[in-house]
Amino acid sequence: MLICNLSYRFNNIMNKKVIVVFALTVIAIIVLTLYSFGPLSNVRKRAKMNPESLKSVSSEKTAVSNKSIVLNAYHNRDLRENYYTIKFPQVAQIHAGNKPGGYSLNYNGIKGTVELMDVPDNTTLELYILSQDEPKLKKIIGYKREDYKKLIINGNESYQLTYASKINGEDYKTIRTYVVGQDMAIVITVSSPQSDFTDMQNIASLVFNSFRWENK
Amino acid sequence: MKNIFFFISLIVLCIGIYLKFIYDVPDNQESINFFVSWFLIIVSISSMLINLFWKTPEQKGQD
Repeated sequence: MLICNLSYRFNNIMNKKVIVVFALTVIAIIVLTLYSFGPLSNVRKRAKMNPESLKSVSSEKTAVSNKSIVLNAYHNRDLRENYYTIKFPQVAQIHAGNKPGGYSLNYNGIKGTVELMDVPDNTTLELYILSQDEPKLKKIIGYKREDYKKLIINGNESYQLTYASKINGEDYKTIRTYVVGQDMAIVITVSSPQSDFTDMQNIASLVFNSFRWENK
Repeated sequence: MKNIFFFISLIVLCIGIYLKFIYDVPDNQESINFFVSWFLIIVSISSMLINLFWKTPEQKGQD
């Protein structure tokens, strides 16, 4: 009796269009949830990555401590307002980063990443590094800041943090370079075992000195 | 009553559009922003449509 009464009232108020809109909304929300947090979220992240960003566009030879190295240039076109050019050694293995606009590289045991970093509008990059980014790094085992300096890289204000840490009991050194951008900042991180520090320093300086924003 | 409901839906739609296209999303919160902004846009548009198609028992009687 109660069900019949409810069904009568339901039919009285609802019409087919309302039911269709309601059903479509429920389906859309389910798809949205899967696309945001579920198994389809990787599809969304990958969609932002431009395959052209992984193709080298030119090569040039350069000499580092009496060694000749060929550098390949890459134009990153993943995120509008954050297009940039960067060069990596030709023999390095280059992969797309975890997020759009990034790379990861591996070169004779030297590992590196290039990432875009969003800096809130109400702060400066330097303040953000010292108040937000470095405190996160301090959680790394054996973290010890060795150097921090301000640089100008191809006309861009930049900051460089060098620190020591321990990975699986081995001493590592990392050079983390931040370059100010119009929208986001770029963070170039290169690390290696302490024994390879000189080689790593040379490679890191080649990589970050080649960095240029394209929108400027 | 229908006008008030429509107006509230419009405000929700504006909030969704603001979060989607104007708001500066902090790092690591892109997924939350993506979900919330699209959720608000979908819900507000569908509530506007339901508002448009909704008929009171009196209106149904007239049909």
